[in-house]
Amino acid sequence: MMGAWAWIPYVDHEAPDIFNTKLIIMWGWDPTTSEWMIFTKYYLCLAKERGIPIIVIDPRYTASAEVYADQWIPIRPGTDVAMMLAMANVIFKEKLYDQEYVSKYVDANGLQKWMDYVLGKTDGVDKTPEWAEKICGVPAETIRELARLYAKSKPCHLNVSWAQARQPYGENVARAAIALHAITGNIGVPGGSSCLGGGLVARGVYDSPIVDYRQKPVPKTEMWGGTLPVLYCNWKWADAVLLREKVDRGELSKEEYNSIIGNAADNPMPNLHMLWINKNIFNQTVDLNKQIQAIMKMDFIVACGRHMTPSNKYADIILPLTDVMFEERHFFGNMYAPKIIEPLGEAKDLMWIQTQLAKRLGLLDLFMPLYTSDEEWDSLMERLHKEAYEKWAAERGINIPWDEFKKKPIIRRDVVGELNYPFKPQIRKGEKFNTKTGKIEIYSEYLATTDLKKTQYGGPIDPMPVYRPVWEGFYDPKAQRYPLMAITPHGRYRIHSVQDSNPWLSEDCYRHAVWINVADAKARGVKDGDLVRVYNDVGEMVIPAYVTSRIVPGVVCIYEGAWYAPNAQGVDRRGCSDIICHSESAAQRYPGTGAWPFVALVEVEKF
Amino acid sequence: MPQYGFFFDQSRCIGCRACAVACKDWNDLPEGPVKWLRIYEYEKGSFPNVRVHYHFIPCFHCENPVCIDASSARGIYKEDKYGAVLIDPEKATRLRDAAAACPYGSIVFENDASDAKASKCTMCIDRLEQGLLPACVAACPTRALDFGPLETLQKKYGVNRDLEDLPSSNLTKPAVVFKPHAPKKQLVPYDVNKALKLLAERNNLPPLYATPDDVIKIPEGLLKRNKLVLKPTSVQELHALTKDDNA
Repeated sequence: MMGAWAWIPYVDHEAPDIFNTKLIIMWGWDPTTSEWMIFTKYYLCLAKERGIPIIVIDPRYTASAEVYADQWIPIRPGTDVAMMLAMANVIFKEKLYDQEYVSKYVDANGLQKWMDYVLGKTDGVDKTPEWAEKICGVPAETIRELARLYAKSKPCHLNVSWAQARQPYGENVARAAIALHAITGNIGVPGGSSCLGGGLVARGVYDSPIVDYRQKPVPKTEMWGGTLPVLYCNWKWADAVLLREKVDRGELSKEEYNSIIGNAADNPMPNLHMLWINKNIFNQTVDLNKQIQAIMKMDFIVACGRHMTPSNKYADIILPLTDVMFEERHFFGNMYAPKIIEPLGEAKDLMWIQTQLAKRLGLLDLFMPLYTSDEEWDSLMERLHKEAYEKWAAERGINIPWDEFKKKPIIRRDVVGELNYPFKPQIRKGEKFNTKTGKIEIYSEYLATTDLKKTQYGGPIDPMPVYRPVWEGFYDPKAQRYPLMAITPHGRYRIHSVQDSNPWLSEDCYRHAVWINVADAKARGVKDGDLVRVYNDVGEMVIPAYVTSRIVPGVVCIYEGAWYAPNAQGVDRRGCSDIICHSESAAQRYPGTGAWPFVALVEVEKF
Repeated sequence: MPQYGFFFDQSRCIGCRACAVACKDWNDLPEGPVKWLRIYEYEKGSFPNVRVHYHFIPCFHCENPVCIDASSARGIYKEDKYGAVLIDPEKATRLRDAAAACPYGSIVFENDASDAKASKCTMCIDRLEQGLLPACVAACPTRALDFGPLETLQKKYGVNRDLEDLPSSNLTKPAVVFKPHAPKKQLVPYDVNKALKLLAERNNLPPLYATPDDVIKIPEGLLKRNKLVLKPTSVQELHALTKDDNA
């Protein structure tokens, strides 16, 4: 199943390149739970066995902290940027940055601006380890020594997870990490760190055949090739519905409304009355209770799905979908899923449903011009996949006929030549980076000089990575009332909400519980296995407590993706993490778009 | 008599349960406590000096299978070709005494009735006959598992049959080789007392806890996943203890 995700355009160092590194820092990265390339788990075992030192920085003692790490450094969630700035501070002050690399490949103007900020020349706050320790809960001497070790271990694979970007100001974590890569000369070098984490890449994996359903070009001005404006940020859809009424009553200006929902000021306003959903979207979008209010305003909801998910329960009509793994044929990235069984019941594939709609809307020629009849649908799909495969195979000199490939869809090849990693041509051959200056830019002139309110971003975004206390975080004044910070990472036995209903996993493998530190549990009279109420001003749930020393005090963890299951009083008894995550505070203090705020301040009490 | 066995590298085990799911899949076991392969995850120590232990507990097909001698129904036998310890299905409802004898708790039951049907890991003998590895071994993403003639495994990985918290191998001579989890190493200084002080404070808000003892002193009964319980008293308890909290 993991291979199914490999289609996402994604680059990192090829897996064996990890052996070229002198130090691995896994910052919020737990590939034992969440990564796209399943062999990353294995290569990290090998790296450890080869004696490469490994440090894990994470609010939790994860399986990665146990198995890979020589040392775990616990950190408060939402404070990673502060620690990264303090590391940069040490690296600048002690001249530990790679001066030759920086002068060649990093935009000097932007670097100077960031350095001035890091050293406190622009805002009077010197971002020293002593400044950071009070924010992060990591002792200053640990930060200082880590900065030295990091800068001196060349190359270093610093893998900063995308997880930290799933919170307010998440873009700053991502950019601070890349700034560290840049000043230490680790981008585009063997064993370095050229991007953000996720997983290591397999050597020589084939791309996938691409099925051409139309077989003629899409006119540029129509459909996906065109220029349809983005009218709202997807996690703001409930605001788009609920606030629209205020605009209509004259209580909110169009400009303000568009800014909140992530729409350019001059764009037309969305006016949502119907939803078409084909995934468990309500379960996976922040502030579930607000979404339910918006759902209730809808005139019509159509769902296409395979399971009675929480989202599908709100649909007026559910169109049953075939299973992509068994009942359809599909190329996924580097995988092929053959059709193994005939579709059960009335299930149809999504493409067929969309084709039927296109037909009735008079758009068949645009969407699926090859469609003839339902009877010929399956043979058409077979033919298109066969043609795609044959074209792809011919281009790669693969001589396996389609019928043979279908029986055993595995193609092996020898991989020869040098290891690959991103930005090799820029460093090795002096090609330009794809930026205005042709160099690595730590500071974005675009963000600094553009009035983002006029764009879909809705408001200002920092032009360079700076530390801002996250709302719904440790230093939000709301922590008076809701003193625990909840993080909602990806779980091991679900892909988001997929597989939550699979009893071999949800019954056999795990208990969906809230992680709570020993000190916080004791203070609340909670023991492991007790049912606890986790709540704040937007939602509540009742789930068991997992009492542990594996999480930083003051932090609780609820894995995302559990299926919302309210009781008669509307209290979620399964534990959908999105019920406690705010969407609103974001709107008032921050542009409409930006990182998804998957953190929350909560209180926990014995149920 | 040939003896096949498992190799378990605890230093590579991430506790992902791919092995346990593969076991149930191949052997068509229902969801619930009939777990021929149990994965345990539990912690020891206190914040931040905590370790997590993972254990892989199928049947170790012991060279000295005490369950066979303990079975008054003569319902367990050691098979000749691989040395697998197997249950005679005719006698599966009379195996409580055999199960009581096994120090690893490897004979499992559908329910707590005295005549509940017993079952256990078969070494995937049906797969071995097809030239395949046991389902668990084939499923492991970090290659923390291996399988083969015990002598071969011992040549490859050594002769250690003991692991922290498991019963001594002297009792039954389990057909297994273990590699323990790796020691920790401090790469940068980390002052625990200072960290615990820092982690209590946050700006002008009241401290999160009064003293470091609040974090590091763990009263009995507060945690459940802090010890290895190989032989719980009910199927429900077994089912609960062989889960984790990772999703």
